[in-house]
Amino acid sequence: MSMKVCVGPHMMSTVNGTGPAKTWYPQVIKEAFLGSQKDGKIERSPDPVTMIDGELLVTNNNAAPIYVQMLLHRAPRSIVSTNPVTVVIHDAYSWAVGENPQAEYPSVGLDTFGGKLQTDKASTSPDDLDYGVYFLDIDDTQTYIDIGQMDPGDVLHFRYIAAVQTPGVWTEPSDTTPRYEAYAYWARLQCLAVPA
Amino acid sequence: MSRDWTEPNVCIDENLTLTADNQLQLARWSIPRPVIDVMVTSTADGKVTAPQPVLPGVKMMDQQVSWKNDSPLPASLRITVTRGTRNWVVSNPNAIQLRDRWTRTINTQPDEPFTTSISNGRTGSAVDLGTNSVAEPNPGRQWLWMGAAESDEWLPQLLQPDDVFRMWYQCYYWTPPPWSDNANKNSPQHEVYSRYTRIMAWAFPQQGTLVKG
Repeated sequence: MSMKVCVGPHMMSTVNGTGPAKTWYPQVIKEAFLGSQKDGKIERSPDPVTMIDGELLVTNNNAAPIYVQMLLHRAPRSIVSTNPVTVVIHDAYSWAVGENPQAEYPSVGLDTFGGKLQTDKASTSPDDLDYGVYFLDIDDTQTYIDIGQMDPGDVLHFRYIAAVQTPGVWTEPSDTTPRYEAYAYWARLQCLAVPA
Repeated sequence: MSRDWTEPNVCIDENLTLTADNQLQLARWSIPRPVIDVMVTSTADGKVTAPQPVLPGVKMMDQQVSWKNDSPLPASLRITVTRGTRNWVVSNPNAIQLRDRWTRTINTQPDEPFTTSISNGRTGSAVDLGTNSVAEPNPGRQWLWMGAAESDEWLPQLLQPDDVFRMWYQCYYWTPPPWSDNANKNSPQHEVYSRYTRIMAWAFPQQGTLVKG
């Protein structure tokens, strides 16, 4: 039988003993795996077309405030494009914390991956375009996003979006079948908490 | 001699401990700590002398790492894989692609992480500029550098005391077909460099068993 002693936040004392409370330890408290809904061939897209769209809601159910970070992990990404068209994948996130938070729609364009190969003038007509196809793949990437403090009862609303766009010139060669493709695969959200 | 009073007694959980002279202190496994840190260097950097059209291709890095949970409590693990700069030179119309992958297990041997169908990372490029009237590839080469970057993975399971975590990392390059021997108008130039990968793991503490909540 152990004596109960007075303890502050993030510690516990019971008749079994005394030690740190669960909230003392850094931990992944919630996660989400978001898959792409639009991998493969794409059409002309002057406005971004959604590939991945997802969200994660996290509640601080503890008696003590916590400090929260979001790990945003993006899959390797790939594009295929044909002279002189640009193919890019934008992504963005937004978040809000409160009793009943509503994060804004993530505005596309915070981060961008993509490419363009141009081997003749932008004004070249479909009949005169040089043949040129561009393939580009990049490794997976990640970002830790500091959310900040969440008080007991606070809710975090985190939103993520990835979208493909073909900005600028769109000329399709008339004598070959052009390739325009984009692959975003997935994004993974992992919410980490430490004592505030 | 019997006592007619009870001495106050405070038990402590497994993340607290006592020094040799009975002073209270925090155990070393009570905070996040680095447990694996291995630098792997590429053994196949340089010129690509022959096409490698079949996956997984040429092995550039191969490393196995492990850690035994030496604490009396479960631990969670965060793996950090840092890829050094990758760069390559590729000639019209050929392609070069790097892939890497790791497999991980607890208490068993991991499978060899071939990158044929599954990979963690993948980077590469190709520029296809077509051919001239006598079917020679047009002149054209591309140089690309990709900066160093990290990939973190939080292990979904906890490591119980004495559990052994094992991880096997491999990195390959291959040349996605087709391949032209007279690339860049009969002046082919192909190089690929992956330099290094650093494999790190940190063990994160968990609450003890004596005091829960």
